[in-house]
Amino acid sequence: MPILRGTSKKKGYYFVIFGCGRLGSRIANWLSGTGNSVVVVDREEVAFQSLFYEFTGFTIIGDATELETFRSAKVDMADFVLVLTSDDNTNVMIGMVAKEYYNVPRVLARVTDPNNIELFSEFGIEIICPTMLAVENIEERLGFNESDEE
Amino acid sequence: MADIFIVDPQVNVRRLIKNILTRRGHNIYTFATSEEALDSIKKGDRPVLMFLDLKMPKMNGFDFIEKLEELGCSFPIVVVTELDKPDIIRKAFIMGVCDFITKPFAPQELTEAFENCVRAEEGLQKRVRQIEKLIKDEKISKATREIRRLIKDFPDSPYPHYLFALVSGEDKKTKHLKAALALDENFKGARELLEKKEEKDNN
Repeated sequence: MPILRGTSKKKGYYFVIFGCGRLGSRIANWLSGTGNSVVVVDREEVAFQSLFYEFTGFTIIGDATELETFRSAKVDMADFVLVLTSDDNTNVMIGMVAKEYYNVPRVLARVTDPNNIELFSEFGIEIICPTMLAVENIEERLGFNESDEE
Repeated sequence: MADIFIVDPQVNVRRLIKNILTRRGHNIYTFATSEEALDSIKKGDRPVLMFLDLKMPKMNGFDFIEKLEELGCSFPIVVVTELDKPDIIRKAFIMGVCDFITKPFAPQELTEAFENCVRAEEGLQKRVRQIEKLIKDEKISKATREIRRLIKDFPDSPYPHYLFALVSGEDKKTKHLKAALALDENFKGARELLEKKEEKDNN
């Protein structure tokens, strides 16, 4: 599902991204480069080194398990929250708080373990599962499909 | 389309504000320090609105606002800063800033602040024109009432004093014109009227 689908058109969105690893930093660079206001949150200052010089957003060093971090990032004003840390438990907690407590219109989280997909979906969090994406991609490259199996 | 100044030491913030407002068709001029912006203003450049950070390397935002007051600048200022202590916010509003935004900010915070501040300024201009028409039509008592209301809504503006000068007797005219010029030394209408008055008095 395209991330901007289902949202009203306006000039520039406000994104809060939790986790500035390889995935988070690339997404942050892309979103800020396309004219959005982006806030990236990470526990480690060194993580922000992955951001480009051209990155036009904000960085916050903070623990996402603390509400103060959510307040500093102004999650209540976010059009989108992207939860991209490497830990599923942290991601579900952040996603839940963003969705239930701050009523963020769109919350998208990374899920490492495909067994957790259902749990995330129960809270209305949109998921991106690298494992499942890799599986689908490999299936597609190998050229198998359901009709072949029969 | 409006000319907007951004004074902020952080390049990412300058770029972000520029991105958001350029897409709305405004002309953006960015400055990394208060001194750079001050040089431009001293050359006669006047923005419709200025976004200003308070945390600056040499001359901080508060000192810069004071300098602008000394120069008689009356354009609206929106503070955009990571400083969020209540005493800082209070001080900024006492010094006459139009709005206060903390970093990080959403694009709508920025555009709302811009629209509200510019609309307030435009509202002032519209009311000034209405009062000038009342004076032209010689409805002086009604004009005076409207000027009193105007000074309540815009205490930092030179316009109410200028308009008072237009409706007051010769003895009080100079006082009102000097008050208008104290608030904005480049106020052309007040300056011309005062020069005419002084010339007439000397003759």
